[in-house]
Amino acid sequence: MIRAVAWYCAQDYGVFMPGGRSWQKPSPAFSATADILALIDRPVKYFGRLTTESRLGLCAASVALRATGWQESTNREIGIISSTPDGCLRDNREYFQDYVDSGRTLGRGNLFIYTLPTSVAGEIAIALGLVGPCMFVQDDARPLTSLARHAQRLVADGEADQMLALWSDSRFALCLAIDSIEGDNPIFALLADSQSAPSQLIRDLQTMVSKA
Amino acid sequence: MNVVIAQSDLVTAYGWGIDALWNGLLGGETAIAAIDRFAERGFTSDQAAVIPDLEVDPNGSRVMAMLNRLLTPLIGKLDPMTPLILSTTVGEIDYVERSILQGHAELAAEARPQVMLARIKALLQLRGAGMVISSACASSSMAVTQAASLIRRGDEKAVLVVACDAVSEFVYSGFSTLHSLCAAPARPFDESRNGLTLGEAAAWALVVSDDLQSDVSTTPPTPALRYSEEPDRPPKPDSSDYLRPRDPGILKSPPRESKTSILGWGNTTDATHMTAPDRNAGGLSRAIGKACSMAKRQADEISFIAAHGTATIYSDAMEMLAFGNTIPKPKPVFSIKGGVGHTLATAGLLQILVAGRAISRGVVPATVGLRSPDPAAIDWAHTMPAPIGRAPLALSTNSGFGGVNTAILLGEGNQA
Repeated sequence: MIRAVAWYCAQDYGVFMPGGRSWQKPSPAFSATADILALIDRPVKYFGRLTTESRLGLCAASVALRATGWQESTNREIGIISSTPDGCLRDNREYFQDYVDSGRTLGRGNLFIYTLPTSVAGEIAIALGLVGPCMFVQDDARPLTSLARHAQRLVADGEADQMLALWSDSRFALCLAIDSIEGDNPIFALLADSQSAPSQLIRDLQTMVSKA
Repeated sequence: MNVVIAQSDLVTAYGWGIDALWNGLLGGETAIAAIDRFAERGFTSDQAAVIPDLEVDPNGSRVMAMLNRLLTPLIGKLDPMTPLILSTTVGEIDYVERSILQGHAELAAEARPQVMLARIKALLQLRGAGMVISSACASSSMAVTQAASLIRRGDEKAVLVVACDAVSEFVYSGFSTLHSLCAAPARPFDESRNGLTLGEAAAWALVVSDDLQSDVSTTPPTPALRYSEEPDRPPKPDSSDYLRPRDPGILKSPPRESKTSILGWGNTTDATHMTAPDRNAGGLSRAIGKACSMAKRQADEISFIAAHGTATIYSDAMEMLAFGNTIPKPKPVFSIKGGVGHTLATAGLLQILVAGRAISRGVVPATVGLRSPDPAAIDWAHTMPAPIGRAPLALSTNSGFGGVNTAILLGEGNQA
């Protein structure tokens, strides 16, 4: 069951919870670090060092987790799978451009560690203490439903008690909070309708929350 | 439902096919050597395990050069609807390098993982589902677990897993920057180990349910290897041709040797650090426990371990701690990375295929390059091949950046 869908973008952030309390608010700027860190239930030392995708993803994941209250229970294993439109192409280019500009002898370690598709999910797992499976999954044909089904299967296999399924790019992040394989709740229909443009899902969620 | 690896093939710096890898590991000679590709770059090492006879299209990528040759014998042999999972870390990173070095920014888009997925589907004439799964250096083992999950749950009958990564300036410079590279060939689990050696490799595995596997050694073969009767599909060829490789390398091994059962697995995250392992080995220990639990086996039943064994000081120490945490008595542990280097995303699948060969041959390879085991590895890692008993149970482990861990339990093909 998808318990919550959280989103975070420059304009606003919020969460849609079927049968629960849905809300949205204006987003604080990333430069307003204290306001940002207030969204996250754990201390994050390196927020300023994170890539844009990691920051957006961390904020969306934090909103989703807080909405579900899952981390209030102990001994729960929560995992995270992530997806992006192009792997980590921008980060790869940034690392290699910097390395070339620096004389092609020594790169920068803090750029190199973001040159993996799982870097965003890995940073979020560290920041939020998620100890279940962590992987990048990309299915271009049906990016959102595939992500949700994949997360459901990980729960059904006993790999995690709950899963976060994150879709992000450099402009926004969406995070689904999933805790069982049962139940094709209405969010699945929204996911299916938004396959070609995940940004459409955010607009749909904003509309639904504002009407709620 | 039992899930097995029905067929597979691979290429490493030892050469093409599992025989080259197996014989190289048993022979104890490393395929790691000095390379001159990055000679003027001033990196902290000049060692790597590269495929010696690889012809790379200057406008293409190294990984596709590997895969074109490795996968060509499969063309037309698979059901076109067979799902494909591609597992890689940086894939066709050559395009990013060229886009910057040659000033052609548009080339970088060719390095997106879904582009490579589409290339492989086109090469194999596949029209079914396709997915990229990446999880740092645990990528392909995690992909195998997800393929097994799809089959075990009845969602699919067969899944093709393809894994690849190449030695590139991009990756080499990064690991050099992190001071992770050893100046000499890597020595996993050795007391004098001081870093990893990068390698390149590609591999594929056809993961199927065992009721299909029982058909592999006979004809007609598995549905994954069978053309359907749908009218828009190619005409069905003579059934005896299904498993006859165009290149004998595809089925070099007797069918029995290709049967490896995937009994259980666990995927976890340390959630401690992006590049350093959890010094308490909590994540990998939990992964091993989950794998045993799913397989309904006890850890003391494990016969041998195909370890990640990168040869970095902390990663090897973490692995040995996890083994000690979870397995009551020492079992033979080996790493293939002293022979073929750290092949990144492909590492896990190579280990699984070597473990499968070890199961069928009744012998566990030694760790190439190991001279004097680290105190924590004494009685576990060994310098000579070790015999194993009947119906062995193998554990294969991988860990990677982001704190990811995977543990897989493997057995003989008919071992459920």
